[in-house]
Amino acid sequence: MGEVLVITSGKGGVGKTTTTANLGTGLAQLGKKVVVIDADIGLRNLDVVLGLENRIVYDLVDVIEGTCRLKQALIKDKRYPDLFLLPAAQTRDKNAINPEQMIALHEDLKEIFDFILVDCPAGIEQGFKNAIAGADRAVVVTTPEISAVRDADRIIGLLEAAELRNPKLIINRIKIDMVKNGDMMNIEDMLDILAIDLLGVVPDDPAIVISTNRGEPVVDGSQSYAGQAFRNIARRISGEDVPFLDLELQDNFIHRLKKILGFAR
Amino acid sequence: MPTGEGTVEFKGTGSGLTIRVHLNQPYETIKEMIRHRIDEKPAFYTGATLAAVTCEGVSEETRQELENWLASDYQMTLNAQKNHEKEREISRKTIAVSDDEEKNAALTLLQNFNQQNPKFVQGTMRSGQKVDHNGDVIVLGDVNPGAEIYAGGNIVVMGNLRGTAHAGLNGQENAFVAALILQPTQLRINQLITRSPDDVPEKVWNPEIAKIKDQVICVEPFLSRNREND
Repeated sequence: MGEVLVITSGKGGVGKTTTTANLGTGLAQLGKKVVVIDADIGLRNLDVVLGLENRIVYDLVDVIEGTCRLKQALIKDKRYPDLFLLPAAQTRDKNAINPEQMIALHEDLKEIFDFILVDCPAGIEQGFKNAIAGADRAVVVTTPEISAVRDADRIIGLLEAAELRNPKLIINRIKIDMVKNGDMMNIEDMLDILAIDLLGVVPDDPAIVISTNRGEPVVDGSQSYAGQAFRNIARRISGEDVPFLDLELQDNFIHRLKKILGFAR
Repeated sequence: MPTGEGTVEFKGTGSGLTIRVHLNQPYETIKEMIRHRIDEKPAFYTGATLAAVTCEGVSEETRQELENWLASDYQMTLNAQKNHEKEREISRKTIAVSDDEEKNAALTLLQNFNQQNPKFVQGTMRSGQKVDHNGDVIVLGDVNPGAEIYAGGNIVVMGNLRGTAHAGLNGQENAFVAALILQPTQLRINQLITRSPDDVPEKVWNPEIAKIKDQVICVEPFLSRNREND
């Protein structure tokens, strides 16, 4: 029986789609059977990031409306045979489907896959409601900006209201140098406000831009920090206990320990 | 068996005289017993303000008749008509009353009821979440930016208050807002509004309380240890 994870953020442009593509690929690398669903109907991107745009024949709305069978719409990834994409419709909108239909779809997919990753659209309206319907776990992506953290907080509140308890946090696009100079929000500040468990920290990395443009997820063979971070997160999702990559975070932990013991302010 | 079974009880309350009938008898018998009690002190009871007539095991019509009879024979005026019915209405939270005076009385009752019942919020209040309560509000957790608390009474946050808090909505000038870490987006007490200074200094663990002093919202530590350090 598979598990449904929704990747959400509230704010747009924080890296939900990139995260979904990389975690999907990362989990497939670990030998899991994975499907990534693009729930951003009308503004689909996940297919582009995965480099599968030219293979789309049927989409999510076709499956839900019964135009095609589920297996006809699933697109097999170029590199990993255990990774599949269920693309969004581009010519429809968020109202084309409803939460009950998503729950029914998940029930079918759970039979086939170990992990079902849902790429949630930005915002808190119908698209968000569709995307979180039937999810077992939620992953909230944020960047170290006040606006993104504020939206993440709102989203966590809405997830809790929808009975999706204990969402996990991914902090994306952090610049360690700027944090050290005090020019960027640090991880501790964000965790203090959001008060949820950290799943991982992804550094800001030019390799992401390059890989996204090429349609190849950064986890795939790349030696970049971001790729390593996503690989670690994928392992954590699959249940492994992986230590945090980030040196800064360990510094913070020691600092926090000192603070508790009264050695530092 | 309930106490006072088979008797008619007269009781003076703040809002007037309450007559409690504890027997299951025909109308005439009850009437006779009440008349007997009144005749002991006719001057005292005549023209009294009647708070309520309550009856156990007697029909509503009989009770109504008793009220009418007391009004006509002893000039007893009924205070806050149909008191018990109104209480029932309030418990259903639908106040459907005709004239303003009754409505105000009912609202006061409701407010008093709520003020005795502080509202507890468990866990973090996040952006977009709102608590609106007539009495005191106690949050066991943080209040994040974008969350709002509106309280008729006081607000206590057992955590970090970063959102908006409004205490003393019903004109309570002595209402306060207290938090383990007080750094609200905006703080309102009764009619006054204030906000944190723009250049926010580094906050340390320091429980603080905000209240009105000389028409200004003042914030000060509420632990004596901290006051000595000042």
